[in-house]
Amino acid sequence: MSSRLDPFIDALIFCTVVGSLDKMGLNPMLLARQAGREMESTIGASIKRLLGVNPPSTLEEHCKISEAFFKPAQTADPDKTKVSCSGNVIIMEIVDCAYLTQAELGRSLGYNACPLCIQAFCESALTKAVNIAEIESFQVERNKDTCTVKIKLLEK
Amino acid sequence: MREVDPSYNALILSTLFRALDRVGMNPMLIARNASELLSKLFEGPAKQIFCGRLPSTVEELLTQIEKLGISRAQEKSEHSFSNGVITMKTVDCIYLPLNAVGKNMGYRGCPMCVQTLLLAGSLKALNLGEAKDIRLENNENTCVLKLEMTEK
Repeated sequence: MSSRLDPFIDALIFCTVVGSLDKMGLNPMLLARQAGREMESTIGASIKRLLGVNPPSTLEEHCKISEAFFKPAQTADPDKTKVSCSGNVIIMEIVDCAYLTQAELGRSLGYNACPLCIQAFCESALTKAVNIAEIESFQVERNKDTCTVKIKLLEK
Repeated sequence: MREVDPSYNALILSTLFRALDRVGMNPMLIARNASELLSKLFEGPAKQIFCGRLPSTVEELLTQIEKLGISRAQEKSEHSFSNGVITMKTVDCIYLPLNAVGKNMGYRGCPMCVQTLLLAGSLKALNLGEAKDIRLENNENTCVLKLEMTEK
């Protein structure tokens, strides 16, 4: 028996939960902000465990750590996926995302792609959790197997 | 298809579920609302999880959910349905990492049980009934779910 999750079941759960919350008026940004607070308590230990490093102190360091996260997590191609920053924007070029099944299901529910981009959600929550910045908004563009996520940060 | 590390997935799901819990969203409420979307998906792409034929009875639904592979020890898993109460015993659930992260967050187990969400949402989506009360017990790698429902 596989120890891994069936991506379809996972996508089904995530899509229906997030989609129904969206219908109730809980938008993704609100969720990401709330989740950042929750992640704060667990992420420090997780970063150390997964990467063997301490939480970052600058945005550049944060981007490097975020990029390195793709190796153990395998949520996208770790060799092609890039995380960088420009001014107060984090830019993620995500290749071969593990959650692409969710994008297909999202379309069946009337969304352009995923009801909530998990990568943007995680990066936003992580950014808040390590106290690098507050998130203003995020934007996702999909082009075949590559998604570009732009996370706009509030100036501190 | 890329496979996600279960610990990483557990971190994402527990963070999301705990955030929802904090804003007052409980599993029953989510399941009720999710059922509308589930029913749309069951008529389309998600029909495949039931091998193309949607369950028409609670017993059929329980058998199909058991076959989804959420339990990694299906031979030890059990289910029953009588007097409007569903009992599902799941051994070695694939979402156990969620349980560990949940415990770190101060919960007794998973912040929300994925199998419960799927079951409660599917019951309503398939017009088989509606969950009234849900109780969950976790003992190491074994979870027992008791779901009281109103039948259609």
